[in-house]
Amino acid sequence: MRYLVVHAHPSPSSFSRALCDRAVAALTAAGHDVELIDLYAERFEARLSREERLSYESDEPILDPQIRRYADLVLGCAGLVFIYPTWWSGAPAILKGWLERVLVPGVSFTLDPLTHKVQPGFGHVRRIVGITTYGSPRWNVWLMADGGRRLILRCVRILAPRLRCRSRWLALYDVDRSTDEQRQAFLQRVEKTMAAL
Amino acid sequence: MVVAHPVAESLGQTAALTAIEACRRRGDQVEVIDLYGEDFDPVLTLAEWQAHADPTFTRTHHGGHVRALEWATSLVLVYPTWFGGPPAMLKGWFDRVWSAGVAYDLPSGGGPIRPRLRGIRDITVVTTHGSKKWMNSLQGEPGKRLTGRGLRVLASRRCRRHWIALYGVDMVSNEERVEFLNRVRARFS
Repeated sequence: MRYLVVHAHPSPSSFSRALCDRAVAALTAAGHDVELIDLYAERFEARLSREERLSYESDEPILDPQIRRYADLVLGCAGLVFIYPTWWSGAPAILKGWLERVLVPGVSFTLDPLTHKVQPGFGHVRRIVGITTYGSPRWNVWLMADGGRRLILRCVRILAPRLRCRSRWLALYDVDRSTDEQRQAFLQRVEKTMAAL
Repeated sequence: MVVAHPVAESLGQTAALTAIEACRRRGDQVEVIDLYGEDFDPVLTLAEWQAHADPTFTRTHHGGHVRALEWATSLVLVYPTWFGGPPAMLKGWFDRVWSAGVAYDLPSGGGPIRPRLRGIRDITVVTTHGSKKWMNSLQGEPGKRLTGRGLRVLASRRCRRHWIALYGVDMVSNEERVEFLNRVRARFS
């Protein structure tokens, strides 16, 4: 299967980057085709522009060749993997902006021109995976309603077929106080899960 | 008031102007941060990430926004809801400006963060949604929960979050748009 992995962390020596490397290696070893987008390394522009907003409902909502390339990768993939550190209950702005600019009408859904109803367009997506670290302990993430999980497993997931797409959520809580063993165990859990997708 | 809308002639920007006018009419002072207007960059940098425990870093680099946040007794957020929550532009404003030493303190020995924005007595969100309310409920409204929970706990203990939303904005009639602006006006009158 073809997997698109989207990673968002400013530091190339971060634990998040280690998670990303491990996930990509496990998917590749399992025989999948993997394409990686490292948003910070690619200096992705997170802001949806005025021109993009005004073209959003037109036949050509994509104005930027870089966005076109990402959109083609999304259209050609069967699995989507998002890897990021959770900040303010959600994805870093650079990833939130990627979803806003790339998953436009014609890529992940279509808009009915009359009723403006959203028709899901992720028929080809069979797996959606979120991998993240939280600064907070699990009970606090739960209390704060876990916006990042809602973003990936609901707002994005809802665009894919209800029965034919499976999703997974892999999280390490309270990461700043985690031990080396806990981090190693989490890396192994990511590897195992990705190998068995 | 923090506004994040890329289109100046949008309903969201009109709602922001309506709120400002109503606030000034009743004698409130209003400081507006228009993130698109200022060309704010919402992407947290490597230097900021490395300095995340340094309480002076943000004050040095985003002094104006920090002062406004500490000065305000009410916070108003105006944005279109995209993918269930605030646009990257506003999400990144939280990522970059609401840091340690500004929005909270990191206790030296670890443990839960300590709120620093106790001066904020209420948070009002004015937002427009492309999809209907039922669809937003299915999506779990992460934006609504961010302001009602994650951010609110850093403000005054009695802080309330007011939610003024227009769902299905592309399909609504002119009357419904006017009614939305009236709700905004009423909130600040």
